[in-house]
This record gives sequence, C-alpha cells and structure tokens, in this order.
Amino acid sequence: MSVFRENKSKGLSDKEILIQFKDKNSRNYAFDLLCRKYQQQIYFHIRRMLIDHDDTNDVTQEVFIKIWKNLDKFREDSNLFTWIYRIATNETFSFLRKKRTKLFIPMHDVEKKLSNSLTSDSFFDGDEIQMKLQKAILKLPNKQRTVFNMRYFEEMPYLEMSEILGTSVGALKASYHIAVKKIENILTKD
Amino acid sequence: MNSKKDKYDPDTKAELERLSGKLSELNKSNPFSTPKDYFDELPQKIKANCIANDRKPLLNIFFEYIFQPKYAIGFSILFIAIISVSIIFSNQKDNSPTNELSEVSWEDILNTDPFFFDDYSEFELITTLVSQTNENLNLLTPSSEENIYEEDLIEYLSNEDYEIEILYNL
Repeated sequence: MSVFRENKSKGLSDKEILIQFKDKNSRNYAFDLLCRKYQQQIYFHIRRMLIDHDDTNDVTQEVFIKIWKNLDKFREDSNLFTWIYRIATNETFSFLRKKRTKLFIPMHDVEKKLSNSLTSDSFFDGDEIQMKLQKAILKLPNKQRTVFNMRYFEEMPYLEMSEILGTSVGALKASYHIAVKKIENILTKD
Repeated sequence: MNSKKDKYDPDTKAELERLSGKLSELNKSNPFSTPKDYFDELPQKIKANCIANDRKPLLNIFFEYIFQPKYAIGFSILFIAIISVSIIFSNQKDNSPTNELSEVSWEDILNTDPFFFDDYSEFELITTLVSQTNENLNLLTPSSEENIYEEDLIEYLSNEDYEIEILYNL
C-alpha cells in the first residue's frame, strides 16, 4: 500500500483535529496530532523534490509553521490534506526558485547540483537501479517531476492532484504519460 | 472527504504497466531515509519554531519585508525620498542668510563696513536688527510693555530712509 493511502486512514479524522484546533485549550494538542499525522508524507513529498535532507527539513518546518499560522483561516471547502499538500508543494517550488536565483544558476545546473547531492547523500538507501531512476527523475522539469512523484510513488488519484496543483486532470494525465516515457527512454539508454 | 474515488484511472499499477513495462517492474520502495528519531522529534521542533515565530519582534518582520525584492524597490524609493526631503529642508534652514546673521549682534551690523554685508538684502539686515532688539528689550522690560517698545522702534525706523515696503513687512 502506498504512503498516501496508508496515512489517510491513521488516527483522528481531519475534522476532529480541526475542531480541537479551534478550541484554545486543545489547540497545541491538535496541532501536535496534525504534525504527527502528516509529517512523514509531507517530508517525503518534499524530499523527492529537494533530495537533500537538510533542505527538506527546513522546508518541512516552514510548511508546518505556515499551517500553524493559517489553520484558523482554513475554510473547510476543500480537503485539509489537499490544503496542506498545496502549501508543501508551493513552498518546495518557491525554495527551488530561491535557490536558483540565490546562486545565479540556470535550471539545468540546479538539476546537476541535486544529482550530485543524491550521490553524496548519506540518507539515501536505494540500490543502483533506484539511484538511476532518481537521477532520471531529476532530468524532468519541476512540475512534471512533482506530477510523476505524486502518481508513481504516492499513487495519488488524479482528482486529488488536480486540486493540489491547480491543473486539469487531462493535463496531469498527459504530463505523467510524457514523464513516464522520458524516464523509460533515459533508463533504456543507460 | 477522504474516500474520494478517482473516476478517471484508479489503478495506478495497470496504468503504469500500460505505459511502461520497464518502470512497472522496478522496486517502488522509498530509497530516502532520515536521521534516527527524526520524526519523533520533528513535532517538538516545529512547535518551538511556531512559538518563536509568534514572538518575533515587529522590527524583524519589517526588515524581513524590506529585503524582499518585491518590496525592496518601494522601500528604497521611499528611503531616498525621505533623505532628499530632509537634506533640502536642512539646507534651507542652515543656509538662510537671516540665520547666519542671527549670530552677529546688531551693534556689529551697524559698526561694520557695509561691504561685508553685501550678500544680505536690506530687508534681512533690518529683520535681524529688529528681532535682536526685541530680544534685548524682552530681557530688560516686563512683557506687558513689549508692544510699546516695538511700535516705538518701528516709528523710529520709519523716520529713517528705509523703503515703506520693508517697514510694512516687519
């Protein structure tokens, strides 16, 4: 079972967490529950994009700080999980953008940097094929990479992805199909 | 809310097999790991950061904002405008001839060769003379009698050869 489906069935429901969060007395407890419920999913969602653990740690904390600050304003017309995931995805994109402008490097150099940190990463336990797959994924444009990770590793339904990324299901399907073909080509060449 | 069904293609495995036999055969397990007890400690770290963020002084937030590119240009223009306006005003104040004259006593004005006061108009010299005289009179006489002395002074000056416009402006 994917991490996505596994975590969704764990512990208190989102609605119960939200009710507890609105009560000042149980606010901290509710937030702790929320962190524990989603931290792994959010962490690995970001990690697949940023590769480096330290960067991922920073962005993950930033995401939860944003959630803490804005959960009061959450209007419940969308899924809490979708909302959290959207924050995480936006923060990750924004981090990658900042990194690129900070270092004055073009996008393909960011990909090179990420690829190098993958090779030197002490927290990468994958075998040779998984390393090749990760390096192939890094060759995709950012949004396509996110779509591929969400569908391939997290097995997320297209509808949920559509709400998170603000893109139509059709476009997401096309993006995923293209990504799969690109990765297959890279792996076959190697 | 959580049991939303994907009506398009719920079976990711079948979809992948259809798209790429090679990729569907690969091991999908997560190759990334974290330091020991990372997820046990993370919520506490997040909470501590949230509290620290809540207590952040307003000045820090202000500086964080002004260094953001989208606000930096605006703040720079505002800063330059404030500096320019303050420089213009301070120059006007400091360089005004009457201000320089205020440091010279009226006896000096009357006793010095007129050549040294060429830079100043007749009006400026008289304004200084009157204001200094007023100050001196204020020190010597009760404030209730101030108007009598001022009028006397103007009457005295009107007997001299000064233009009526200058006297009017006094």
